[in-house]
Amino acid sequence: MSQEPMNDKLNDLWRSEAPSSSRLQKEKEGEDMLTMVIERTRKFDRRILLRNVREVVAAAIVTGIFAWFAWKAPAGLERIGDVIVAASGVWITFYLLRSGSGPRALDPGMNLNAYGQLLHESYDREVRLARSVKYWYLLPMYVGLAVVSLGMGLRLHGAGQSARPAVVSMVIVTVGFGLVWILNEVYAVRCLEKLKRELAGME
Amino acid sequence: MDGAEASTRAVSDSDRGRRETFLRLISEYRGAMRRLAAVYVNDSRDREDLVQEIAVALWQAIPKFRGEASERTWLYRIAHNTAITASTKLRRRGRTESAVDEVPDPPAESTHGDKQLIDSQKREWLMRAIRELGAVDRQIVTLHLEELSYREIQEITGMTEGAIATRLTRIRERLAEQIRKQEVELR
Repeated sequence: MSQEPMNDKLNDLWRSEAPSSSRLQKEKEGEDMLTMVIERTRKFDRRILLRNVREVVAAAIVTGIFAWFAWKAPAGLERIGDVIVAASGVWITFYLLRSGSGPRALDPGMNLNAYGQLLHESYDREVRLARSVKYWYLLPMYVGLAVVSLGMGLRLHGAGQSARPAVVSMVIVTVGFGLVWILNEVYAVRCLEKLKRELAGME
Repeated sequence: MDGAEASTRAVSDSDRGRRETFLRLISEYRGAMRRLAAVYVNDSRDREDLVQEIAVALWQAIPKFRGEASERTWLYRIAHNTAITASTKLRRRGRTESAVDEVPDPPAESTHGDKQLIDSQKREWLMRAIRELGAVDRQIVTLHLEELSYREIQEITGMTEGAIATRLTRIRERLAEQIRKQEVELR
């Protein structure tokens, strides 16, 4: 079989669909699609706005509470720890707003080659962000809370009381932060690496 | 007319223009979008979801279109780029994986002469054969079957015309061979 008839055959098969809708039907389908698209875009914008507001509010609450603790702290070391945690809240908000906490939207109007490369880079960036959570998110707060616990322990010990509350609070903080670290370093990175592999597999 | 009124009017004009462009593009290219979705995902609900994803991307991209490329090549770039990202997500959701064998069975004896059914089945074979290609080959052949010129395919993919021609020869042979095999099995 020559190339041309087979080419025609492929083209015929490609377009052998059910007859297309009437003009009126097409217009109705287009309007329905437009309504759906506008609704989805609004929902998406609202979700992003809510997420950003939530992050800023959470950081503001942490900063406010620990600033209050610092103000009321009975000893110098505890005050330093509280100030570190309060400053961490501000730092995390700044970092999130600067680097964006979600995947950055790529321009789908660019050519496929360039888009593919940028998509890979965007996944790499997400992986780096998830892997670095321990440094920019967990470490500053953990250090602050550790200093608070140490200060509390020394204060209690100095007053002849048991330092157990300070030890217990440090253990709870360590477990909690450990879980967040595992979620980001192991689970989130694994999901992103899987996405990257799937993308590479499609090429 | 004061400044605020002029500004409101400009916004509403641009919004109307955006809606008109969207409706025109959807009306012209909906069939092409459906065919494109079918080479990325198999499940019919996933295909519909993918068409919607492409429509959303198109709506968001319209205000950014500056006419550097033709409207047609720009639209196909959006469609394929969105399909690549969205189909990965849809595959993760699992529906596509589980529906890999959702290909119509060969027609029964009594319907053997039903040309429409046979055509629809052959079309599904073609779609499946294209789905089995790598993403780049899939994009090139889809654009070729949509009757875009080599130059347009070059604009969309970023590959050279020579590379496109070489790939297309190989892909066409592969697809034709697979369709022939299926036809022999059907007889």
